Amino acid sequence: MAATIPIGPYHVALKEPIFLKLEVEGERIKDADIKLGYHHRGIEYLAMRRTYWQNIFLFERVCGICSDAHTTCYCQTVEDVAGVTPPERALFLRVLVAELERIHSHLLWLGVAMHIIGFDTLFMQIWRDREYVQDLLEIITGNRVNYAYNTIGGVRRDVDEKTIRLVKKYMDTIKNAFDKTVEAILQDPVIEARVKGVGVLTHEEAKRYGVVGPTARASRIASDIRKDDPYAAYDRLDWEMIVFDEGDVLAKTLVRVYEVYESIKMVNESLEKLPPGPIVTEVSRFPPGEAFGRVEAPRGELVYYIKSNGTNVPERVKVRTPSFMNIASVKPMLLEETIADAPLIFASVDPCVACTERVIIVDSRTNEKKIMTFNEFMIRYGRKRK
Amino acid sequence: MTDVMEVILAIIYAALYPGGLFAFFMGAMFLWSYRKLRARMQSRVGPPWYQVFADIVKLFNKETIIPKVAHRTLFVLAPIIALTGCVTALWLLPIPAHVLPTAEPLVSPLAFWADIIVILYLLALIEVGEIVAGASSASPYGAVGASRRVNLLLSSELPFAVSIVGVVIFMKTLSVNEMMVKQAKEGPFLITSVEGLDPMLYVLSVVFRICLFISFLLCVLAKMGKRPFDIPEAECEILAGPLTEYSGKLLGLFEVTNALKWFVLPAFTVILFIGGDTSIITFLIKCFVIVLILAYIDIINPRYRIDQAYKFFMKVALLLSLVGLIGEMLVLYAVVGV
Repeated sequence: MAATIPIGPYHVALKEPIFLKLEVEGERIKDADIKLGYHHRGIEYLAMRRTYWQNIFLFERVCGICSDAHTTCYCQTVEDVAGVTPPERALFLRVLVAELERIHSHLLWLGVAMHIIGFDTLFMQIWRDREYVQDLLEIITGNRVNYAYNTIGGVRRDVDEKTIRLVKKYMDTIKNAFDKTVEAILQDPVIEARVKGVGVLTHEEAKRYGVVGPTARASRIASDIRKDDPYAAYDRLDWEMIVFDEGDVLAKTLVRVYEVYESIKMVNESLEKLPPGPIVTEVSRFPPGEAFGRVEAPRGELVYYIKSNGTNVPERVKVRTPSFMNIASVKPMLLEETIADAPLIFASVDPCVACTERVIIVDSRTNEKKIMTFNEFMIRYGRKRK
Repeated sequence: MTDVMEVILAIIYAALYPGGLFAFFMGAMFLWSYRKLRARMQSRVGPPWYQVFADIVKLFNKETIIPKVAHRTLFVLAPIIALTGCVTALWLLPIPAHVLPTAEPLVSPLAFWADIIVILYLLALIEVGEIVAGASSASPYGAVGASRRVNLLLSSELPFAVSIVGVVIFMKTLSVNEMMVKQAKEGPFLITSVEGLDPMLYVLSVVFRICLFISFLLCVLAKMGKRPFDIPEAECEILAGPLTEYSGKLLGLFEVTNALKWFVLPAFTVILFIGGDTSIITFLIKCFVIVLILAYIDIINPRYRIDQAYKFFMKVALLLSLVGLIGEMLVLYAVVGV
């Protein structure tokens, strides 16, 4: 007998509204349906109503966890359109904040994963250690969450000697605390029983679904924008890409665990190699043209496309977030697993629902669903700017 | 006249001490100490001491909502079944009545020569209440929670019973009251000796009894719904499990049962394994030690999946209890002879 178990749109294990419909026989999942559409905010449309400068603050708010990755990508793409290069110091500072953000994002994910398998003690401790990173981000950028750090042509705040010493001290503290956490994760037999061999995404499936970021790297796809298409100062730093073969939740956990170590290394290195000089290049004009930029957000490849028509308002901004690629790959992972593992498997791709929502038009008379191009949508609903 | 006195005493026994209010208060305190300890070990502040009472008072003041699709009779009956099982088991337990050690322990008015078997069933009744609750609430989360509870009950009940049989064989009695009296004379079950046992065999026998004790504690964890066996209430997967649809007074009854469970199960463990108290103070200290052990295991563990928990009980807990039982019997056989 098959029954349907709804997970979502509002569910304890999910941080954001998404609907997983699981067809189960007993505890085995036979079919899964993933429904989005509870959280559409129309960001891309808003972006076309604001100037390039105002848009920095808008894209800061696409995602609360990877807000720096979004502005970095946006600013890089606009710099491409405007034809300016940020000063060297700004590039290193962007790496600094981006890697701090990656540490906090990965720690956040680890904590949530531990909570989902019922290990609340470790969840609390990981989040307690994450506070050090949040403090650092506040000291460097002035904010805990939406940092408002990047600007077109560079960054907005410089670091002084005192901050650099503090960051290095905190990095040691974080590393020591994280060592203990990793020891606990790797040695606990119950954790191993819960994550090993669960939710496997094979190399072939991973390629077919085009997954990105840690999800891809856990399935033997060596793809990292920081290595493949270096931006900011990543090509001048010494670090390694973490790739695992297994594709299960354990591999996805380990990828993130070792990436935290790499990020700690990169934060220290970028501070050591920090060149002197200005932190921002003046930008005054946005000539007609288009540009395409990408960065490695904590969840994977983030893509921005910007088309300029010569005014101070972009004609089109297109955002493709990593979760957009990753969420669909949950389905092959879920099949033949148990309900107990479903929230963990879903969380294992580190979904960021708010970034991912797209417009779907549903015709209620024919019950037809179609995804429209933006032009069609604008023409039909009569709000296209002439 | 004496009849009236007896009735009054029985009522005091059932409603105030040790059944009823006293047990509820101590259970709430044990539950609070577990929550506080857990919070402190997780770098949190934790609730104040009256949190459990505040929760229950609040729940009894709230509206009770019964889902239209639920089976109404069973839905209302389920918390009553659980509470009945818990309270009746409590009435059968010989809990010391004096503050200072005395010669004559308090005997439950309900006690009879084979009450341990009844207690075994009554403790299972608490879980049956939850199963009925989950199955009657017509919610998919409740149904999954109930099915997980059934699995857990099936797997944990066997090692639980085998451990108790081990104790019964050693004590040569089926009455918990006599066990208590016997332990008061000869020392707690875990470390007591039999006449004519040589030191080597004694150590071996204690090891076997510790096996029984560990297996028993694991089953108590499952009965309390604590990690790594809190699978029926895994909030990340199935919300509150069997209790998902419950609210108001009915949920309040479950909370009362839960608080009582925190006294009954540690007390039962103490009476079987490290009992022999005639003073309530040492008895409560021993109960608290058991609560600390349970809380500590709960804090340092994540949650098993239901199939893994089933395998764990069949492979580890059952094996431990069987080794304990058979070893114990062989030691006794060696002492007593044919």
